[in-house]
Amino acid sequence: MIATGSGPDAGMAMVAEIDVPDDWEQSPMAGPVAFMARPRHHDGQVRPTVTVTCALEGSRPSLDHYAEVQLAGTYATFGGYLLFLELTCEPQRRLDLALAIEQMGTDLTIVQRHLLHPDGWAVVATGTVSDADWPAAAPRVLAAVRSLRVVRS
Amino acid sequence: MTSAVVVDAGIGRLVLTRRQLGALADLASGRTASPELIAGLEAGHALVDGAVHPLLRPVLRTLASIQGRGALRQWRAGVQPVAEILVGAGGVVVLPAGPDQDEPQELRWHPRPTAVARMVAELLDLPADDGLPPFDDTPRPWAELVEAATQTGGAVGLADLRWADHFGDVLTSVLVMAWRSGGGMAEVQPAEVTTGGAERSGTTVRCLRRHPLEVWTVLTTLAARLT
Repeated sequence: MIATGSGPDAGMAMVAEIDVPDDWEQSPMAGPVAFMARPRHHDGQVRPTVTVTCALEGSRPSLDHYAEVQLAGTYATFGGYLLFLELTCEPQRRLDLALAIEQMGTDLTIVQRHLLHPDGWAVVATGTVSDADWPAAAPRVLAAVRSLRVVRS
Repeated sequence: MTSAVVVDAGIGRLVLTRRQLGALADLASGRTASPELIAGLEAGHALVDGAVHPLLRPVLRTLASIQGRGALRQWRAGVQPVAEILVGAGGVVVLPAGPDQDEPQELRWHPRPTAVARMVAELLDLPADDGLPPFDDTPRPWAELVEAATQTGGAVGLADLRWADHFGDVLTSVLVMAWRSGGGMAEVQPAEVTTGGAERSGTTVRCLRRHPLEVWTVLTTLAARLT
């Protein structure tokens, strides 16, 4: 199943999509979230979720600068412990990261893929999974996050 | 050696020895402790008017309800004490300074048992970058890894995480890791059939490259194993 959506301004935003398992559902989202997908049913306390957001990076920063700003913002918002970080320019500018954080009394694993579009847009897929569910949920959530692609901009 | 107790509510810093913690646990459960220990605990404000300082109560609650237990040994230049990780219904307590009863322990306490994966990850302080590990998968003596990790100024890390799902169980290796400080890690496994884990002296081991998230997955199973 493909989950798809666009950013807050349909006239400008890129349209992005991800591959999700067939037993997931896509929820419409208001605001800056392009779309959200998650399993229809989940036995744990926190339903694994993948959200996709679009952001305008008008200054067209370098990948290093973009990563620096993103990490600073993430730490300022969530704190947490950096588990994984990868920056690459092939086949397109991309930042992957994973964090272990705690929020609302729950220990969470956050995985993200940021794709930087040449015209200055960034699109971000964020997977959120409780640590307790991570061993079982990781393959599907990682696959969904890593399938992020822009289909129209 | 006896040390001064530190109970600093302002920054949440707790420093006690294992002997002092044991005395506090005895007092909290209605038993007695030696006058010398009590005097030291009172001087450091761990005991206030005969009551355990509020900052220490959740630590004692955790220690009174231990379910799982871990020991993290790291090989580095110089002495590197084994850190003990204790997980109970009251949360997670880390005693980082080894088994000596009189060694000051910079206590870490977290209120949720499920935080154990993150706490162990922070203790390990593994690199976040993927890459080539310091050793390929060719069988080699364990001593070669220890030698690389204990070189002064070296860039190789080596750690053994042992775990027991129940307090009285024997600790067994759940993860032996070797890594470059700049990124690239491997799980160390016995290259021959042995008992007792990869770190036995004289054992031949094999280093299998692992992605940082594969290691994280192993750590997140620790809390799940407690249930």
